[in-house]
Amino acid sequence: MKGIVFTELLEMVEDKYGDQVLDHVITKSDLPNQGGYTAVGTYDHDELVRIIAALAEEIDEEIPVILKVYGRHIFKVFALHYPHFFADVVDSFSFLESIESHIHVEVKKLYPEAELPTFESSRTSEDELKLTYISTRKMGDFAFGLIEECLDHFGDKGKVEIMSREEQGAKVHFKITR
Amino acid sequence: MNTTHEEIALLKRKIERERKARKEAELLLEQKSLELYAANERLRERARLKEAILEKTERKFESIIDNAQDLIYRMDRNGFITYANKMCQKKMLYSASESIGKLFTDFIHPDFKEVITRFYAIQRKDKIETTYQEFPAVTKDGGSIWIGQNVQFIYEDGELIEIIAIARDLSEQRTVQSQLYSTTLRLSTLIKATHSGILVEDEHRDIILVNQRFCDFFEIPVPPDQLVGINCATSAEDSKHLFSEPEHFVTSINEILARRVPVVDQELTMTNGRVLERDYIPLFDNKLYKGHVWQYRDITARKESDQLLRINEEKYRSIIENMELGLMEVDANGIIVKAYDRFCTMVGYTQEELIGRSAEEVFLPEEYKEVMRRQDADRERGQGGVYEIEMICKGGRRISVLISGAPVFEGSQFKGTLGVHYDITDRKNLERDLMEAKKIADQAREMEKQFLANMSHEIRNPINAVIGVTNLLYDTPLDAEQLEYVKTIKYSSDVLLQLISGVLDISKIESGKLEITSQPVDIRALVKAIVQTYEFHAADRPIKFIVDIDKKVPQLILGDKVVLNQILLNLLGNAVKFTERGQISVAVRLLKAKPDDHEAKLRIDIRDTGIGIKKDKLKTIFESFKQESAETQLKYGGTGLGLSIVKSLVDAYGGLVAVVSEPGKGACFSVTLPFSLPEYKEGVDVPSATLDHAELTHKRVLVVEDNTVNQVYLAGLLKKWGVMFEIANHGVEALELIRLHRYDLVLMDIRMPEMDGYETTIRIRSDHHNPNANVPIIALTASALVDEKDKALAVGMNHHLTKPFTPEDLLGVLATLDFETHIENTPGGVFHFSEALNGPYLDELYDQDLERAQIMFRIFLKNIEKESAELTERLVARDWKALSALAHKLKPNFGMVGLESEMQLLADIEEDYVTRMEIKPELISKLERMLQSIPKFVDLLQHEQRRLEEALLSAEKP
Repeated sequence: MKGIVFTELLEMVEDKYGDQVLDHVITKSDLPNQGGYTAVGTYDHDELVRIIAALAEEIDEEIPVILKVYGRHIFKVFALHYPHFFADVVDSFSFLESIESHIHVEVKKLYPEAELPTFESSRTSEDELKLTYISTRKMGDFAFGLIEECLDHFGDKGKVEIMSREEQGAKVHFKITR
Repeated sequence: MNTTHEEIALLKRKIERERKARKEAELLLEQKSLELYAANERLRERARLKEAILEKTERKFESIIDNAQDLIYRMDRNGFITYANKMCQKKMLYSASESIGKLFTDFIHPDFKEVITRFYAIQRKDKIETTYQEFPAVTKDGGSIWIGQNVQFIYEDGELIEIIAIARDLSEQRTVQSQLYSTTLRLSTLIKATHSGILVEDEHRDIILVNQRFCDFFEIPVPPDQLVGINCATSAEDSKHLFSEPEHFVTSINEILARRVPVVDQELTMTNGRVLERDYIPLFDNKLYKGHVWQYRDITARKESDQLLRINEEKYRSIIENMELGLMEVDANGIIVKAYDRFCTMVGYTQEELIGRSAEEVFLPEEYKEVMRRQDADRERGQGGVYEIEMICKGGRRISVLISGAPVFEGSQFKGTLGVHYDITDRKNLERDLMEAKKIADQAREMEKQFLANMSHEIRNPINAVIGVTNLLYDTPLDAEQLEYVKTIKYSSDVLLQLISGVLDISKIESGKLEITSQPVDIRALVKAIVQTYEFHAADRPIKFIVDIDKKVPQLILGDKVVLNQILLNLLGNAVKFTERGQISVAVRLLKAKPDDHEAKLRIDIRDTGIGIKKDKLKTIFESFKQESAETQLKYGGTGLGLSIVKSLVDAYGGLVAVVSEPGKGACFSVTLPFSLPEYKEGVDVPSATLDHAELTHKRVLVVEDNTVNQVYLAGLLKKWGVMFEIANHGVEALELIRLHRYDLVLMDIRMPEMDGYETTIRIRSDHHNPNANVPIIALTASALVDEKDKALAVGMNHHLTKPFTPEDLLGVLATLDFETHIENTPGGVFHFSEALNGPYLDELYDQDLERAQIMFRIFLKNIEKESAELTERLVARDWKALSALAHKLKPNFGMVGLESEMQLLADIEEDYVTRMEIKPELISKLERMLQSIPKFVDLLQHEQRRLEEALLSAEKP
């Protein structure tokens, strides 16, 4: 998993809950590098899971909620850091549709070792998009947050619903209406 | 304190995290830098490699461009040449250095310079990328070559940077050759496919081209392609054996070749009978002899049809000429184009005198111009025609000709007329002569007839006297010998009178003087009277006379009583004459009478059991003076006029007469006559039988007669019948007596001195003061002529009697007059049928012929069981067609026994089926009821039959 996911998470925790909570979370997570993450590095996904779990315990919050909040947060970071992905995209649906065909292709060029989730999309009508998240990481709620923030980013007033989960969350079906 | 310590530890950890992250990041960066350097190196190497390849490719292209067969050159944006390939140098003869730097337009031929310059200016202005243009270019040595070039303008960022031109030398020989090749191919294909045999030779007589057809004509067994290049110097010699005149074939070819002038349509006959037509066409290229073409066509079929046409034309012309038909052709304006020999002979002109002249002016008489104009119009419309005119021959002689004119067309253009003339002058003359002869013959015949008629008339009176007196003689006491003499006189005079009457009748009928009149006639009375007369005649022979008159025949019909009488007299007389024994029957039937129709037909069958007539004589039996054979004439005598008179009378009546007969089996003559019904209703009581003279005893009769013999005859008769009478010798005397006495009857002779019968009658009828103005008057005429009788009736007489008449004749006539008498003709009581069986109908039907009635009843009773079973069977099977057919068959049987309503039911069933192909249910149930009551009918009929038997027995007893 790319380092930016870790660095951004730790920064968000520090910003929202203070250095003490962050320190507790890191200590509790028993991380190999004691939380010394750099954005350009690559780390084990398991470490992230441990961090999230520790955080949930620390602030007494559900993991899905934390993942969702973090999804929203990191979308804003992406939008800020990678404006060229947003250059020719006019609305949220086209952006979501372009993840698989365009963004992930570009990410792969830069980080050939990156393991990316799959987003299958199909437009059922002008105002309805069906999106399926597929990943062994089972981070559907993280994707939920990303999608919601995407709508907000493009100013699309809409609704995101999880229609069903399969294979213990390795496959999540979203319905997005606007 | 604790907190501070904690905080320090926390910060330390944080710093430691940051340090670790930095170290790791630095490590990653170094790694990435190295990777980047390596990648850069790889890229540089690849670029060097590509550059080398590019250079090689460029050199290759340059060499290709240099070695290209096209002229390739480049110009800068202003048209200055920057590059020219080797072909440019080769074609234009300028070296590369001489051309580079020069303006492209400098090489264009001066005549084209302006146009071409403008063309490329437009290309530049409109930014057209590629164009093609042809023009002559000027070479270094001052010559010019036509080039066609593609010019491409190269742009970079919208800016013209370079112009590339690829040009081709159009005068290249290869182009010409390819054009020539395709032309040759086209032509040779054409030649191969043609029906003519073609041989093309060059100036050395080597074969350039030959086709299969040619090889076929000359029996060359080699494919035409293989002959190309072979020399033909000896070919004429080689193939001369194929021609009827071989030497001429060779010499003519040599002559033609020597003269080198086109020769067409030469005919050559081959030994195999075919005929070829040959053309020779020399080939010149700018007056330079380049060879020649031989063309051979097979014209055998055309020659043959031409020949056939000529033979046919000859044949028909000679036929027509031999048939004495004169042929002449005129053009569309009627000008003579050709006159054949026979025609010239016919009209007396020579061909030279006729050709170029107007046929109408030379031959046509004024009165035929209109006929000719109509014929001419028909010809122009393409119609032929046959017509008769007269023609004026040389010297003014006229001939009659029958002309058959046929139009001559060439395509749709009317070209004239061909006339076939047949001289019918002789025939016309003959026709005239014949007409003249016929007229004379007709007149002679008319005179002969007149003579015969007059003679007959003159002979009749004396014979009447002889017969009259003979009849009187019969009534005087005679011994056996005298009686025999009287019989002979009677027989001879009868025959003589018949002969005379016949001749007279025939001549009158044939001259058309016979007229059919229409007056009410009681046909029953008429038939019965005649039958009775003959019954009397044939009393000495075992002949039974039967009269069968259909009950549907009305009481009175409108017809000509005299003619009817004459027809029946003759036919019945004939039957009596040839029948020795057996029976003679007269049956009268009504045909085709609709209920409310006034027109109807009577059919009268007169059947005998006499000697019959041979089949081959049946056809001529109705001709005048034709008896079946000379034997018949010898054995039976007679004039042979009887049937002829019948035929003529029936014809005049508009009826039909036919005969069916076989030798030994008797004959049946059938006469069908039309008649109409009188306007008044039936049922008027008309006496239907002859009078018994006993009824006359209290009557007073006036006899007006000048002939003493007739006076004696009539007086004898009347005296015998006990009738009071007076005799007047002529009309004047009669008128005196009329005023004195009241008479019941006047017998009036017609031809008398002082005043004839017509005038006397008129006076009696018109003098209303005499008591006899309405007395019945009977004309006594010596002639059977209709006009005489008609005249008698017209002046007011009631009846007429032809002299000589028998006592029965006179009684018969008296019976038709309004004498209040009625005679029962069945002696020994009258039989009346039972009321249960529609008695009146049966009474009328059988008219006391009880024997016939009894037979009919017996037959009916014998068959009824079987017939009712059949009816039932068809009824059950609902086979309406069969039921209808059976009803038709049985209908009369029921009628014959008086079951009239049953007969009507059967008739209704038949009619219903015939009109609707169906039978009404109500009729069916009626029929069912009828069948149930059959046993009841049987009882009734058996009873009636017993009654009939009894009646017959009692009739025989006395």
